[in-house]
Amino acid sequence: MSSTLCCSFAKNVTLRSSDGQTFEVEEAAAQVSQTIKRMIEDGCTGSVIPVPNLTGPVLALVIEYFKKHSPPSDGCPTALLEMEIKDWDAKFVAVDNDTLLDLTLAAHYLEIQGLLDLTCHRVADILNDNSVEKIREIFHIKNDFTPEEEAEERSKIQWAFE
Amino acid sequence: MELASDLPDDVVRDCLIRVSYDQFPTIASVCKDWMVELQLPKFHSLRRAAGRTQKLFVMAQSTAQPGRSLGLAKCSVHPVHRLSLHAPDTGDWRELPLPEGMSVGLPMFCRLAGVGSFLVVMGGWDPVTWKVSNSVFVYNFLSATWRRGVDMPGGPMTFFGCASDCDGGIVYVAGGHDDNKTALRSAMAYDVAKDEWVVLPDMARERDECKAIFHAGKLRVIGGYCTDMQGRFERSAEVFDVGAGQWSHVEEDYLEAATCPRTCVDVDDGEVYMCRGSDVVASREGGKWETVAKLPAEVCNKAYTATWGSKLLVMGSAGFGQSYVAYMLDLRSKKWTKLETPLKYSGHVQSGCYLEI
Repeated sequence: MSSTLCCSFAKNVTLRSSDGQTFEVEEAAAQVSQTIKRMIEDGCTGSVIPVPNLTGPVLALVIEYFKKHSPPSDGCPTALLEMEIKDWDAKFVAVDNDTLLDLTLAAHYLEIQGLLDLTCHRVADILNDNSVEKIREIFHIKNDFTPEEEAEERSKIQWAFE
Repeated sequence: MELASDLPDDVVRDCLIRVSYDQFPTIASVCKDWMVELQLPKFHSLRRAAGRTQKLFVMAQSTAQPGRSLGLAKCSVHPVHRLSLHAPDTGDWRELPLPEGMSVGLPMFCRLAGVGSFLVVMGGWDPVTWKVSNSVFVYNFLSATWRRGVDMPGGPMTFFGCASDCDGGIVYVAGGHDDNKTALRSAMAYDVAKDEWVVLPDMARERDECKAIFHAGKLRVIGGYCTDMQGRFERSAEVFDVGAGQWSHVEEDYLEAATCPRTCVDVDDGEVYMCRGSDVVASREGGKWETVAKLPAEVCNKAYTATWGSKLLVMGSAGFGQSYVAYMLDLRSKKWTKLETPLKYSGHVQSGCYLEI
């Protein structure tokens, strides 16, 4: 009797960020992350699951993603639902550049393929729309070309596409 | 190697393979590691495996806009040719820059070949002096730069067939005629990376205005005519086996009709398609050709055909002096789709090539 009752409630897990914040989330939702899924399967569910690579605010965002992408309990997702999720995804990654990079890293560490695809796509859009200087600024990349090499590259680009 | 200070290399790579080809020169200028990354064959095979390559057609196209000025006056003006680029997936049309010193336009009747991320422009007539040339220009899409290649061996020639092995980095050239209008049996191969020409054994026949196609390690040179038969095309073809380094016997009845082979193209599975009369025909087992579709009336005066995947592109016009438009045939469903062709890109197409970058 008690076991039936137990299963009618969704099982939760607790995740702890690098700065010590804890979040409770449905186990099924957290398993959107392959890394967390493995930890649960390895029996780490009894206590808190540490997520040392993510700060509280980033983990909170990732949990939003988990909730939206957790497998539906009542069978197959409908086309309408899929469209809604697509819209939600687009809004989800329409964030400032630093948050986008944090989410990309989080998707990488936690092995969330869907989120990684989403963020990489958004990063590529930013790469497509920006100048060399702006790209270096956004991605914190040091310019390692000499002024001579740089001048040569610049003359090429201006000439490249009208 | 560190591709960006904030992200692991494979994540950066995952982002870079999604960048549009026209942004590659910018990406390569961000830092040295990114410049190196874009040149790695591995980068391009990853991009291809992820389905991120972009399909591009480059055409030597007249800047004259047919249908704009009626009357005979336009016939006396030499048309200027430039490089037009069309991406069928996005519907984008744009103009590529020409090499320095080509301000008056491309050589008339030059030939184009796409090899990896390179576009090779070969031969043609100087648009001012009409002198036949054997020059080679190579455009690198990764750096958006032109370089002058080593001239084609054997002196000036024009109206030759050319084909590339795509990712192998080699362009094959066969037939055509020299500056005395003598049809040629010669064949040669250009290694784009090494900037080196290798002369191949001669073909059995002279083939002026032939067409070359490359499939599965074999170069097939179709049709053309010998010096004595000016403009009277023959039906034969001959095949060069790259592995064996020699030409096969002549396939006498390769084409069903003695016609200009310019529109012959090969599809991924090795089938050859061509526009013949008002039909699109395909080569079948046993040397038979089968009609697969009727050409739309708007492109019945066909100038250029190309294929990618199971799609066939036909650029043509309804008749002399009419605007050129592009149509795409889905070879599976046999359905035509008219592609949006802006007025600026409605001039006559002399040659073209396909690239996947």
